This record gives sequence, structure tokens and C-alpha cells, in this order.
Amino acid sequence: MATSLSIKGKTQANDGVTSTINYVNPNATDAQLVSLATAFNNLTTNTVSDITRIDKNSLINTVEKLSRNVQLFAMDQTTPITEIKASAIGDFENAAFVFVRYNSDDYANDILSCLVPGGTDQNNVFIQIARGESTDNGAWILLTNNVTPTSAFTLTFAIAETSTYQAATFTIPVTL
Amino acid sequence: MADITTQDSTLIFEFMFVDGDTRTQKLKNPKSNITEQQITELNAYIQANNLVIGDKGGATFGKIAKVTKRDEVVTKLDIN
Repeated sequence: MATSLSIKGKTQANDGVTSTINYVNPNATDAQLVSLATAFNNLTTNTVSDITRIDKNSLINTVEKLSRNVQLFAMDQTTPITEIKASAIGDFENAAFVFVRYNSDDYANDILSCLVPGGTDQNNVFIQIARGESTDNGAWILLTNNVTPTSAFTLTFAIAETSTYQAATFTIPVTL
Repeated sequence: MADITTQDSTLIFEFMFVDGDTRTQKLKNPKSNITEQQITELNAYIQANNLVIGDKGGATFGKIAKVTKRDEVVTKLDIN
């Protein structure tokens, strides 16, 4: 959240002028704000001695967050994945590896979850998601289950909101 | 009545933040003899005291990237 600073002064023509400085740090001290106002005002023909008032106003009430760009890739991190074969989700030895690439300001602490319709069980399939090492542009995901599914379903990956980025979800079909 | 001429001068700062975003800041009635040294000192003061932050997630101030002085002369013509 940024703050604006208003400086009211007079010009050489003696008319009133208000200068507004935006994006001021709201944690700045009053003394710093006075110095900042003076520094800016010294660049103008506004009479310094006529700075009559400095107001702190909240300028920005919402933080615009960037949108997520999420893609799913195979282990080579290059081949896009548009569906996952259920047969690839077997026991640990035959588990499916996918690479989730998304923009982030902190990959190591981003909350990434995988949701199965109806909870953790779908057609007696218990999907586990194990997150591997985060890289500079995404995370490895290991998908395993205990029972081979008998019907297709949809997996939903969800990435939580951060201070810079919006939350995002994307779905991928799991086919037989 | 004779034509009326007014001059509107504006100093336009381009703040650049560490995420690459820029925001503009305008000041009215700038002096005609503003020096590069004055802008440099202002930039250094803002950086040293963290007095300016971005509106996108509190992006850290990078620098004053550009300063433009714009003079606009407006003449209101006497048509009577």
C-alpha cells in the first residue's frame, strides 16, 4: 500500500498550488516526509516558506496482483501434457511424474495442491501427490495411487495466492 | 479584449521499481534552471531513506529513470 503526500504552497504569482507526491512509503517518519516535500518543492517555483500543509492520504487500497501462468509438462520439461493416462499412475514404481511450470515469487514456499473430485478417493483411487524439488520455474509432482481407476476423472492442481501473484487452478483429465 | 496567453509547466518523473514497472509523478511550476545534480541528489535521498515504494506488492524503489520538463503555452484567442 502506497501513500500520497500533498504540498500546498504559493507560486511567484501568489496563486495557490497543490503538488501531490504519490507512492510515498507510509512507514516514512514525519521528519522524512517534510524533507522529501522540501526536496521536491525546491525544484519548483512554489515558495518554500509557504508550504502550509502536508497531508498523508492513502492512495492505493488494493494491490494489483499478477496472474499465474501455469503449464504441465512431461519429465523433459518441454513436452506439454494435456492428459494423464491412469495406467501411468500405478504403485510407486510406476508412478507418473509431471512437471508443473508456473510463475512465482517464491517457488520453495508456494502452496501447490492436487485435488481429486470427491476428496481423496475417486473410484477407489487414492491419489497422492508428492512434491519434489522446486526449481526456478516450477515444481516436480509425483502422482501415485493404490487402486487402478475404473473410470476417467479430472485432477485439479491449485496454487495458492502470494503477495505478488493471484491464486490459480488448472485441470487435467485422467483417462483410462 | 486581447489574446490571453498562459504557460503551464510540468516536471514529470518516471519512477522505476525493481520489478521493472514504472510510475509517473508530476510536479507543477518547475524551475527553469533545474540541474542534473539536483535530480541526482533527490534520487539518492529517496533510495537511502526508502521513501518511495511501488503499488504492486510494495515493490522496492529502483531509481528515477527519467525526468521530463514539459512547457505548454496556451493562447486563448480574442474572437470578439
